[in-house]
Amino acid sequence: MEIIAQLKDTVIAGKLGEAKGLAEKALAEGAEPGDILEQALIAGMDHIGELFKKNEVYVPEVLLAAKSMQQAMQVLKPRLVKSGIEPRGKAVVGTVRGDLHDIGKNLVAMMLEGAGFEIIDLGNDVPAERFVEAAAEHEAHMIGMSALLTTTMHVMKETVELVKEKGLAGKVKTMVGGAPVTRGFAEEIGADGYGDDAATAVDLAKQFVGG
Amino acid sequence: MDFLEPVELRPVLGDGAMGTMLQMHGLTSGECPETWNLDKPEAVAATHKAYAGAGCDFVTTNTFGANPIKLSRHGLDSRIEEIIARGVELARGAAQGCLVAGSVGPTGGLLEPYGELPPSEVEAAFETTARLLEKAGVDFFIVETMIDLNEALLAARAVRKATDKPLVATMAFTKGARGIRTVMGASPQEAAAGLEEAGANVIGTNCCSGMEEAAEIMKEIVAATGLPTIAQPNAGLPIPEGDKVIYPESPEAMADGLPKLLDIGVRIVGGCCGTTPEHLARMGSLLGKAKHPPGVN
Repeated sequence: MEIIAQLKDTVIAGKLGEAKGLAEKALAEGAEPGDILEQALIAGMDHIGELFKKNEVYVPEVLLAAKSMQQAMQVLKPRLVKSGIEPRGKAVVGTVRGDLHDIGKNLVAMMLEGAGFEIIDLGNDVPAERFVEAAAEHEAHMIGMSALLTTTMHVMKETVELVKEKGLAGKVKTMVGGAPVTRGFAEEIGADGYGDDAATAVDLAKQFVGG
Repeated sequence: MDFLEPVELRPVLGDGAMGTMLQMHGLTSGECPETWNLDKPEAVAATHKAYAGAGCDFVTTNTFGANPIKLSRHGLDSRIEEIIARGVELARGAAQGCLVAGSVGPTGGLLEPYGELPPSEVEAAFETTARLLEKAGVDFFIVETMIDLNEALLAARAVRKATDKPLVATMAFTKGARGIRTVMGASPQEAAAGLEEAGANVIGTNCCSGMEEAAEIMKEIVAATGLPTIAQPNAGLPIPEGDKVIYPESPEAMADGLPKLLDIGVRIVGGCCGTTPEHLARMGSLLGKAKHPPGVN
């Protein structure tokens, strides 16, 4: 459908104030909510994620695309719920205790949402207990943790350990990322995944829920 | 003393990290480093003093996050004036004979339209900080560790509104798949052109991952501007070790990388995260500045 392609392009271009109207129009023209989600929003975010991974676009472009996608989601979400379309998975995300930086976490949250996940965003300064409680409460598939300060990274370790302690290992996957976080650190603390950037975090999340 | 004059004549040695030094003094994660100007002034002063002893020509005030937007996240925005006044006083008192640079760091938020902060609010916040630094009597200004060029430009313009004193502007560049950019996508060329127009007198990079990367970045910056340039790299990429992280570039390694930066044409050198007075003393020794031999601090 022409309108779906148009919405996808709008998301990729990060045009604000157009996506909502286009989503309404697509629904009015009889497009299935699930198709709009998959073929316009998720496909558009997927495309911008690929460009981001190749350094062809940077953070601002991704954020604008995500905002555009969210504007379309405002009209789409109630219709998706009505059609019984489930999110691809649920992710609890947050910046770890002691860290007030939330740029990286917000980027990951928006890109996960763009990939069809439901996000439970705990904000910043989140302690290990809160991550694990929220994951249990919402029956989340994963916990995504971000740190920008080297001094706060140990909270990631605490969270991974608490997930095991509560018997949630395997059920709730853990992934970590942020400027000072390395693959080596993620392996050392026993996290299930390491996201080098927000786009990689989305790939990981997809793997966690089986592709 | 005019800060820009020696820059033309001989290399200038800036200082090194403040944040990671305060962590060594016990600053905990999430704590607002700028409140130490009020609560633990002796640690801030000791850091300035050690850098002065290392031969640094200037020290940078512990005011990196002292802007109304960032302080409000700690509930401390009402104390901005005393935080900045005391920060300048500590630098001035502890680093005798050094110039004092007033640090202006990012807000920690994102600008509209991709973020939530209206540019006018951000510019007003930077202007508040710049006016307070000016009032407290800094010798020049350093807008540093910027990743978003739009935010850096707002900061530079705000400083220009508040003062005619020299302005140094640095952005945190990194080398990616498609060349040197900040995380937000600004290239050295865009940064140099924009910051020069906004009134910066010195342009460069800081908080990049070590001397080698700094050299690659500075090649592009030097080529992109006629202004004097500055490089203040980190002591390498942090490596986690237990609950702590270590910065792997030794004082010797950083000093070894210095001649390359000078050859490129960089006029002001110093350090960022993970650098210590010992790193700066090694660099100072090479530049004939160290007041104490390396290792004594």
